[in-house]
Amino acid sequence: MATLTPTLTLTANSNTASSSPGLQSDAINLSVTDSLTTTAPSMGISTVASDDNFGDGAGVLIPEEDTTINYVYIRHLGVLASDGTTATTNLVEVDSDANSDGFRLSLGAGEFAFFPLLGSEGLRVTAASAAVMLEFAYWSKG
Amino acid sequence: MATLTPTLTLTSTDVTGDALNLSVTDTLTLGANDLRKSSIFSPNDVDPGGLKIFSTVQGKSYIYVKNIHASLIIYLVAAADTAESAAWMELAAGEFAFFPWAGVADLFANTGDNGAGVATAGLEVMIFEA
Repeated sequence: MATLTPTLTLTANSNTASSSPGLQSDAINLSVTDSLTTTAPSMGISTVASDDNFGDGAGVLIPEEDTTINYVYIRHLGVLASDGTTATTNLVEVDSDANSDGFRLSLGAGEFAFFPLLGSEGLRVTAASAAVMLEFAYWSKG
Repeated sequence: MATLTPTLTLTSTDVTGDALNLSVTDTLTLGANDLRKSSIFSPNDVDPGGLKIFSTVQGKSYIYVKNIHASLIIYLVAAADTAESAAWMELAAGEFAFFPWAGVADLFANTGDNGAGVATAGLEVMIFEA
């Protein structure tokens, strides 16, 4: 067993700020943290292409055969997989490998997600056009 | 247009041989509607799908959720179905998530199909329309 500590901060200025105004009259400054017990298997912080095939099909990062809950981190790195340097805004869809439950995230360049994925869902990524580079990791819930 | 800045930090001293210390941040430009909804829900295991916490009317949105109930598990479902097998996210007490929802499906929250009951004031949700 190991311990993973995620911390999320959401900030926004008030809508009267002269620089980077926020949404409403009150500013946002939210910070949450947790202490998660994890176990093997896991995949540490990795860089992958959205069309990589690790043996379960192109873009399948977690196969649906994985029945454990996984804490997932995924981020769109904003560059094409073809050379790893050309900037791109191609959207990346993130959904289930089983593809039966209708969940779908949409990652733009630079955007990220962190969430506990239920077992037997799996995780699949698909770029809107040309493949892009992603930062990805997951840890099995202990 | 408004700006939201999310920052995620992941740390650990023992998930691998080398210590983990990752910090990522982004600057999100929100949509013309500048919609922000902050809510506390009480998910149940009775209504079809539980409580709807997001509608596709809003389109792509950045969603923060946290299970603030003392003990009950809360599931997120992209369909009107309380079966645990229909869920895609399982939030244990104290767990949270942040994700860019594509906005092509509604989002429901429930406590599962096991008669767990009502997670009174158990789910904190913030939605920012992209």
